[in-house]
Amino acid sequence: MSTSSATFAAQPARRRSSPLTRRKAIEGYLYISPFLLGFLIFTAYPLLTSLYLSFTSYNILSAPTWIGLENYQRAFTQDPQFWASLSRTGRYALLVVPIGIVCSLLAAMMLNQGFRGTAIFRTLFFLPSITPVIASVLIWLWLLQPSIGVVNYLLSLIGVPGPPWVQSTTWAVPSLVILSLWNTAGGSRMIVFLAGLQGVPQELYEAAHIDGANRIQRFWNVTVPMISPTIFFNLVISVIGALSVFSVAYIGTQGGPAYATYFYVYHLYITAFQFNLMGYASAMAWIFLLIVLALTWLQFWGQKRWVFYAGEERDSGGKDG
Amino acid sequence: MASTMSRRALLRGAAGLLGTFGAASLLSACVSSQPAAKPAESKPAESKPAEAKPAAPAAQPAATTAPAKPAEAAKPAESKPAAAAAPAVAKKLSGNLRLHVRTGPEEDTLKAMLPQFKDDTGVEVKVESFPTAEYTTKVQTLMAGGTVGDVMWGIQRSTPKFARNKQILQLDDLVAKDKYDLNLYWPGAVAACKFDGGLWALPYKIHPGPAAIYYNVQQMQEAGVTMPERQYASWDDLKKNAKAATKDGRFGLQLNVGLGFLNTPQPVTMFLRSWGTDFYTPDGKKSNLNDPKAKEAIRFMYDLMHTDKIAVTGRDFTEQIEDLMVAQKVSQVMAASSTKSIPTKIGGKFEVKNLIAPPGPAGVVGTQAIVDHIIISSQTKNPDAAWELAKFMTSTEFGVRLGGGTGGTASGTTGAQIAVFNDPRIMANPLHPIFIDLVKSATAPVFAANLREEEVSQALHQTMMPLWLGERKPDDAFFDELTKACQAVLDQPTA
Repeated sequence: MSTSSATFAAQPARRRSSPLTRRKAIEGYLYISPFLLGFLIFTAYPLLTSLYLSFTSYNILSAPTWIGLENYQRAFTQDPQFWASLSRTGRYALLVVPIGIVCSLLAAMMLNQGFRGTAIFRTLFFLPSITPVIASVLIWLWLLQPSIGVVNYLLSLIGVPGPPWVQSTTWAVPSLVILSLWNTAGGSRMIVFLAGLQGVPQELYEAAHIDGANRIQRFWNVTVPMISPTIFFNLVISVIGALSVFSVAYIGTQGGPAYATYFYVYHLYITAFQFNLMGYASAMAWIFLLIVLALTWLQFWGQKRWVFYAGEERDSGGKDG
Repeated sequence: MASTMSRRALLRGAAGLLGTFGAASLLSACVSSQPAAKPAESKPAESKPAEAKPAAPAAQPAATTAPAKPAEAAKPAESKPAAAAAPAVAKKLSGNLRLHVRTGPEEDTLKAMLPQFKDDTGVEVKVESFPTAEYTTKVQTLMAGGTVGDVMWGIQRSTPKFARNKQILQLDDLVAKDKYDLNLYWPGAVAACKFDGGLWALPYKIHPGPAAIYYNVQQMQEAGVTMPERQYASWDDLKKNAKAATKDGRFGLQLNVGLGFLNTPQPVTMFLRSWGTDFYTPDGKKSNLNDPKAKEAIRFMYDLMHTDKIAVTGRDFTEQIEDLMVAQKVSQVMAASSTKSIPTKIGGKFEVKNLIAPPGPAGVVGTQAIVDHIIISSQTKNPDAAWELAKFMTSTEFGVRLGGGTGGTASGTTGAQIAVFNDPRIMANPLHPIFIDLVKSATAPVFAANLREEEVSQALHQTMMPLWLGERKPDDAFFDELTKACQAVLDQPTA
């Protein structure tokens, strides 16, 4: 064996056994161990178990029985509420996501004007998002009560007959959208927008102003492109949040009236924890995961066409020199 | 080497990470800490829960409530004086027990009563309480994890599931060994604790379903009507009074519907039994909703709301049955015994009295024995002490305390012993006496044979809502749809 080859062979072994490297590695693992253990025990293990359970019949009270793809088959072909709740959730998301994003952006733009008392308004706008959902839903239920609620009373003062709100199959979803917007429009989504707006360089506005752009043109040609990564981030999070809508339906309407607010995750919850069909609920959860992943991937794919990242070149565009 | 992270990477990463965690949490939520339930090895009874069948109705729904005289109904001779009936445990036992109950007034009653149990038996009881909304889920999760307590409060529809899955003890042997007298309880209450012929629970509380009419005395006087003393003679009488009271945006009547899907079968069953049929066939395998009598009963309910326009419609349903009466928007409310506590909510603004609902065309009031259970885990290591605790919690004194007889904040629904109903402290509430007649005639409700009661309730509740809202009419197409929705659940295999 030549010296050089011996050195070559010994190098990796020495790297592996270096006490310093080992110590650093151990330290590193120790530092991340609280998260790692928590993740493995409370997320990874249940996640994999739920995958297994999705192929079983499991009622919690007795051991699961393997039934193959029956739960998935049932979802697609037998459960009348599977497609119905999915479509209902999609329609809810189509309402709440765009309106929510626009409201949050408007609120952030207002707070970005530097008016006097901005800090107070920022706090006031943020307050609903830190109010416990259960409290806000219950308060809103009373406000929207058709006969003795404040909202319909105020409407009656201007001669408008108030609708039955959550007690109507037509108005239940719009009511929950209002309720959800009250909770989220001024919350973290607004804060993220505010941060995005504050990151737009002033010189771009000045240049646009010199070029004769008015406020609206500056908004569309400077603000929107510059905060497009923020809009994209909020869009992804909002879509996932809207598809996962649960609390307002659980507390406010119990999926009713007449299944009007029987959203997918509510259906999943009821299936799991009221009907005890854990295996089927697990299958529903995995189908939901795949749907959310697909939609998120679609958004990531689509963002190449409309999201502008400052400092990066677009694939199709060249330098204008 | 200095590493930097672009805004793009940060936002992408954050979006991806949040999305992953959101979905992962959802998936994780479907898994209890231990997937396979571990039924205990103890086999206290000779029963065969695996072959268990659904409870047969204790009797046909001949819930006759002949308007009995108060003195006759109370029959104080049948009941023991409160002091004598107070739980006295002869045996000296030892050890510890874990007890699961609901958070709230019942837990308060327990805390007040448990020191006596400790003194009598030497057994230390650790109370673990959970909010009602999540109670059953918690208990089932504990069962699945093999960490459930020894004794627990339970709901009627869950007990057959626990029995079938060998999670609870059959009590017949313990009753026989102890020579325990089940005649202390209302017969309907005992029947409601039976499943497949075996006794699986002791009755903790009982009410007859929403078969009482509570009314605002001042509003009915203003309406110029004379209220009957103890029971409405007919639905026509009730409708006439309700019509007189319906004015100025106020309703004359509120039925007990629209209070959440798990409660929906009770008012429907009440009307169905009054009209001479029942929600299910006696074997619990078929829905009776297409029965002409059932159709007539449900159409009657619809007409009260949308034809006669005297009853609260789905538009105004509230979370609690008393809400509109407390707000003085309703003059009469059809409710069960928990509404006996309504005076505590109205602050003396008006007076409330009650009477028995009128009999239906079948000549009966459709009462049903709605019973809360005390059950013993099959995993208990101390069955004798658990049995003593179950007896203690279903005793006369305990039942009186539950009913608020000592001025507490309890629900108004009392314990299930006959003596409780006749106890002077309970009788002191003028809203109580009618419940003696109602409970006396109450028979156990039939449940879905395949133990999918919650699914049936959901289908019933959601399908009937358009009717209460006036968005559907109770035509034959509606009943076909309703029957199909419920039967689709009943045709599924046992849960």
